[in-house]
Amino acid sequence: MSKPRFFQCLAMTLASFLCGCSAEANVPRIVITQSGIVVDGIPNPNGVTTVARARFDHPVGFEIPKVLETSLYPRSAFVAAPDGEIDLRFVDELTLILALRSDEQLPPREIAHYLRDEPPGPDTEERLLNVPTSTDFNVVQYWAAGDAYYELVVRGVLPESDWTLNVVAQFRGTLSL
Amino acid sequence: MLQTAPRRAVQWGMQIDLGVPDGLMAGVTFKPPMPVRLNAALGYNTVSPGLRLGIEWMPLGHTWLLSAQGGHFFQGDASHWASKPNSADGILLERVSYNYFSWRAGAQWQSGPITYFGLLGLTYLRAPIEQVERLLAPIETGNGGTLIQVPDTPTLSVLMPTLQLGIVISP
Repeated sequence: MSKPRFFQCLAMTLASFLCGCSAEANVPRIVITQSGIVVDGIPNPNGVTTVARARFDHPVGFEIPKVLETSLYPRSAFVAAPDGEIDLRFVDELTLILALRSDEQLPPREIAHYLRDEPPGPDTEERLLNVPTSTDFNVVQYWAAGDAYYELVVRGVLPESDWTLNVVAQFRGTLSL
Repeated sequence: MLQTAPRRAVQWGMQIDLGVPDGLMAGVTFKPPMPVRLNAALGYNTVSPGLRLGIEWMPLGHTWLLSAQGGHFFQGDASHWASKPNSADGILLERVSYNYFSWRAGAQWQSGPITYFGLLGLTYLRAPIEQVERLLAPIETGNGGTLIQVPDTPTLSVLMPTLQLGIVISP
């Protein structure tokens, strides 16, 4: 290496000391599983389409590290019948919403939405539904509020007796300085 | 006729240095008959012990040098650095370990058997972030059925300025 080239390299390395600090961590997957969500049965003697709602709380106590800026976005979601109890072919549409009990400045946001585009097959049981997610909003501000809850809205020719669901929602994001 | 002492082909030495993120390091150096110096050291960063391997390159004489070093610090509890003991920062700092690679440049001066050196540059550091689950769900909700899991440990990547000051003692 020539003398000028070496000193160029030396100067660039010394100058790199003046660069700022950057820190970032990818959070590939955070999985929230809520088991045994009870959906109230709706009397439906005529077999028409009805809508049912069920809620469950996000765990409280979520704390954001002060030194890091946290961003988390929905990655995927699915609902499943516990232990194969029910066949979910009656579900025409399903929406998972994240909302706060108190803060009116943060409106309820749709995390995931499923809409059946084809009639279910007569012989194929459905124990699990993949629910496409909305990936464009940061859930951290909701989680950090301390009173976040999820609402499940199901539309279809729903059972007349109470039934249960498991919901799995996955999130991904970054921690950065 | 004046005779000078024959120059030794290789030279061993002892190195002690202080730096970021190296902490305090002590080790051995080995200088083969070419313009490089190799070093291996053990150290402590006020949290846990670590180890490091490095090479210094001096192609234009003894004064100016370029240095590349890589090291690992084992897991330790750094929660005393947090603003509050049980804060989120404190929980994340309870299990700190990291790997790093430093690229530095600087100068050195020899006085008798002791060579003093100072280096500046950049460090790339990677540290797994343990215990994220404890931040996400530290308190029972009462509805029992909620489970929060972080299957893949996030890894923090940091690029930051670095400096190192030290001495090499060559017998």
